[in-house]
Amino acid sequence: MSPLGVVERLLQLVPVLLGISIVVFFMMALTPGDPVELMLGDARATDEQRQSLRHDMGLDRPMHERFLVFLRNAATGEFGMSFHHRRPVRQVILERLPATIELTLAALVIALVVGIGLGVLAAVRRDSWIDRLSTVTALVGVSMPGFWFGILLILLFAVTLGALPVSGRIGYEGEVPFVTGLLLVDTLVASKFASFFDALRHLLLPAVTLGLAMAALLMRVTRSAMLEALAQDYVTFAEAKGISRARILFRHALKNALIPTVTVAAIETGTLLGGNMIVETVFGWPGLGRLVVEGIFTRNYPLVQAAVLLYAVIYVLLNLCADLLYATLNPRVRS
Amino acid sequence: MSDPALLAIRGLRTWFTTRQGVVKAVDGVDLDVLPGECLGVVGESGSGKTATFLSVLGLVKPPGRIEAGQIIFGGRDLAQLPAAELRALRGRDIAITMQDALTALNPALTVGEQIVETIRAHDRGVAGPAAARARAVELLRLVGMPEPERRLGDYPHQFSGGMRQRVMITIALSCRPKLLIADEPTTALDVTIQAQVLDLIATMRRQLGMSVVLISHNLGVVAEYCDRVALMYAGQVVESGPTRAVIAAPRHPYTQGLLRSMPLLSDPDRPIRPIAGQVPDLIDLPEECRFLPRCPHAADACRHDIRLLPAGAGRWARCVRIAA
Repeated sequence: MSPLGVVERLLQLVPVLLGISIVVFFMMALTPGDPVELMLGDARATDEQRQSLRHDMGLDRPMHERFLVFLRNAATGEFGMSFHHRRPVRQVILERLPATIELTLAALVIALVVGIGLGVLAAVRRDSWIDRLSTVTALVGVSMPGFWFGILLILLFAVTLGALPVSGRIGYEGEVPFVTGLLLVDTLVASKFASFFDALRHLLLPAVTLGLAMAALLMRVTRSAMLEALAQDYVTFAEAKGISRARILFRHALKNALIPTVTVAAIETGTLLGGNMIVETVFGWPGLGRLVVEGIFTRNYPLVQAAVLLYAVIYVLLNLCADLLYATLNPRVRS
Repeated sequence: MSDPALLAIRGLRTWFTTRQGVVKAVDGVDLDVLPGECLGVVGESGSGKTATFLSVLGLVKPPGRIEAGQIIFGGRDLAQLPAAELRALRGRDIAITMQDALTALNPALTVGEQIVETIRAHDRGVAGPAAARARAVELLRLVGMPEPERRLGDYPHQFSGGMRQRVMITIALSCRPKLLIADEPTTALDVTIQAQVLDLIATMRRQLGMSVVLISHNLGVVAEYCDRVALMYAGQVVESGPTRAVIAAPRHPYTQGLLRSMPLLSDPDRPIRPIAGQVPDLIDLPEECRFLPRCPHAADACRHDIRLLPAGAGRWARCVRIAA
């Protein structure tokens, strides 16, 4: 894809995001439940206090006015104050974002390595016990709900074996100076290796839980793409050239098989974002997903709107990424 | 069959075990390829031409399997050779060009990489990638590719059909093989390009002093380019011999029928008579002449296994009427 094509695709995002903003705003605004009541709870607040809070939060203004304010804010990246935290939404989200990014990247790496690795193995050893085993594993992986699988992992590794921590990101977060917000990176930068392994142990279970379904899917896609590639004439011709088996598998077949696999992976990364909400809640992971779940329960309109919009932007960008990767890997599309 | 052949195939059987039964794609093929000659192998689709030579290269895929026979090349039986030794030999001593270069070349790799990897797989003398690349350029120039340096970085789909075929020929010839198997080199090409590609193969054969097996379903092409011809029918060689002699006086009823079914430029008014009937199903064939159901000379004597019989100077035919 040419640079101009990329710009064109980016411009196409504008109407998409506008549409998403409308949905996001009204979905939240029309959800039953009053944030003021939820915030004040059972406290015996007077009507004046309720009115004053409602006014402070801008909720006494008509819906269309609130929408325009929301749009203007969104365009500038400002989403107002989080009802619950009494701090700017942007600040709250940015604080939580690195934890989610770290978890998502770890899950992605697990899914890519396990999914593509097993997929290639299953295709090369077609109809062997490895192939059957990975097929069954993939089926289980796709079918098993993340929250349940996560709890099973906690029961086994944290409760029964006591080998891994139950929740959180790290034992003593205060000790790690902030650089990127990704603890695995920051601990290494600060040469705190004990903290690095501590963070790694915390990350393991949630990342496996989050990456499982995607690994299973990628395994199936890789397997069938590899089998298709291996049946092509160009593989026979490559064999006739007398080049090594490894080169035929990894250069000739895998390069073609990766075209669909990577495309699916880029799109599926967006799905990981959704899975975050469940996994972060199960594992007490202090990320954006859990923040959003809490925000929904407390009718924290500005927070949820901003977060959902952010998810949408990331999702759309990932789709663009998928297209770019597809074009990069597939010479026939590139020219 | 005269010695010393470069490649001698004896009693080759390559069968495919399927749910429906055993498909005897190659069933008792005897063939010689002499040093420096061009042998045409002619037959219809499914007659076993390609399966025979994929067997030679050890490239028959499951459920296909070489059940019996010898493939003698350079004093060794390729049918018994360990996989690693066979791989070392492929591309270096025996090379193949496939029917359609568009599917035989990897769409995701540049043609440069596809040529260079072949050179580097076999030729330890070519030191580094740069030397192999230089050789690739030289080879591309040899097969008539304009601007070879620039085109090394292109992908197969960026070439025309004829140029793609040249790339595939370049790969096949990159290690100066003793034997080139050209499997239907012109089927996927425009008529105007066909002659160019065939002439190129003929030129390269003279330059490299190699033998060529030209697999084709076109007897006319074979007549023009091949010293000898072998005709295959239903997994067997039914007739072989010097091309001119075979075409002038075919001995096997199938060859006779094939020639009668072709239009002649010299005699355009001659009626074209197709061979009646159909190619037999290759599953569960009876032990009798394969051509029997379609043969105008069918007799009781044909109802047992027929072998290739000497039929004149350097000629063989698989028909009981030869012996009589």
